[in-house]
Amino acid sequence: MRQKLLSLTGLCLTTMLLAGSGCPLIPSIEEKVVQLAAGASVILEFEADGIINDKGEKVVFDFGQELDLLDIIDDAGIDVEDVIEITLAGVSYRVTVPDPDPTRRIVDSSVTVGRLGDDPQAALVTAFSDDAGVAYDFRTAPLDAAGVAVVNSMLAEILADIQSNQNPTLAASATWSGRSEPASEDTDFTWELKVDITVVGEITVDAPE
Amino acid sequence: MKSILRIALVATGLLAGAGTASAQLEANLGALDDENAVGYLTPLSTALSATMNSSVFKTGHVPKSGASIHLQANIMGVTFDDEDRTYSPSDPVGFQSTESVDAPTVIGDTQAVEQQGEAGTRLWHPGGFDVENFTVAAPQLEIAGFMGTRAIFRWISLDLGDTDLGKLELFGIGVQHSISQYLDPDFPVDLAVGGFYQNFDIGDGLVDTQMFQFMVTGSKQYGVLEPYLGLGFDTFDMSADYTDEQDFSIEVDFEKENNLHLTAGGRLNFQYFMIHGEMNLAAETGFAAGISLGL
Repeated sequence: MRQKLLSLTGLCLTTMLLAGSGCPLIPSIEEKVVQLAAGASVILEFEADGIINDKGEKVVFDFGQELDLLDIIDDAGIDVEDVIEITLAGVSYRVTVPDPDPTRRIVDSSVTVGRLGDDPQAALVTAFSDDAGVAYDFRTAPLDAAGVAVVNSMLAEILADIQSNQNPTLAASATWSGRSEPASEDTDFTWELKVDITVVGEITVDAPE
Repeated sequence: MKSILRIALVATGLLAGAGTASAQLEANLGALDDENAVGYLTPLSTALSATMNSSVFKTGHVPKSGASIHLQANIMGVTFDDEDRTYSPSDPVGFQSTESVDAPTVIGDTQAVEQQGEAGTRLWHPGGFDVENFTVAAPQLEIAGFMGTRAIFRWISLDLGDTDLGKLELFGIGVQHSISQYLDPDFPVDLAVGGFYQNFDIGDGLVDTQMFQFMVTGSKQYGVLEPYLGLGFDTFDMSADYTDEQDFSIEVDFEKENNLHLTAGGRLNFQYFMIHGEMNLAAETGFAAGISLGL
């Protein structure tokens, strides 16, 4: 009799444990709306070749095609109409092919950006100096609010194109200007500017409670 | 890209209903650099540590002789603490924050969090999946009766079908050895010491975890009821491999966890089957239960 009572008690305790509200041992699934973020980047390459120490180099690109926003949000599983916002998150740079002179430096450089034909373009990166004689990984670039605003307006335009089922082509250009030192010899290095964006959108998922 | 949340969903047997969620986590991870990915995913790491190291040793009684074999089904779960729901993100390269924010972890609030940066830049931190509990299930085979030693195995190998994860594999092996056989027969409780190693792998290295538990277990039988206590420690090592938005492979190594582990539970021993339930204080506080059949 005592054994039966103990068994019954144990079974009851186990049942209570399993049946408890919010019990971690009984997972349940519910539908949730989750705001997710996806990242993307556009990389612009600048080649400093020859005597361009005091001259700028202009890169023309199709922002809409380079970004391929549709592919990004498709990969993320976000429906186009559920994209909340797309913004510029940051800009970084790196030297990929160093100058033969290991002491070479980029000095007082800036990068302006805008739609192709805009004159003047808005400053995006201002007053930065760094090594150009060694290769290194991406470093944060000092930004200017005017260029950030222009990039954000172009991003909004690309998003609007996608949301209205149009092919998002947006011709843009970026111009690097500044100096490199030492000025007594030709420059010969390649560097890249990486424009990072984040896209935030809503998706509905079935997830554990 | 591949996801980690899917592991939790697979482990809970809920993959079929949660494929969409796991796909979204892939996107979320793609928005995070490796340092922030660690912060975002850390609750899953601690939850896996706490759950997978549960329900291993449920008695201090290991027969010195007389072969026995039991096949056991375990279910282990933890409830997350509030502090697991957010983390403090660091600035990824290219972004300079002008304010600090509490960003959701993978189990945190579903709303993404915006962080203001230099010159009007803004960085969005992905929302979580608002998960309160984490549950895993694992089969376990126990063979005892050789010089007071019990061998313990866990093994699962699942082809995850039309997901892009490939295989889920769990392998665990360990022993529990009777201390009681070396003590005075009148010693009031059964005592045993054990060690158990587990490897949990998803998608050929997408997530690779190594776990080890050492535990001293004491128990005493009162008829069919056998309460038990365990005191030991767990180690847990986890790495994740995913691709970012540039399709670059990112390997994230989580900090190795070492946790004291205290177990209190009870088992009902019937002729051909046993039922147990236990509470665990370890990386997280959790509960586990199981049923085993055997001779």
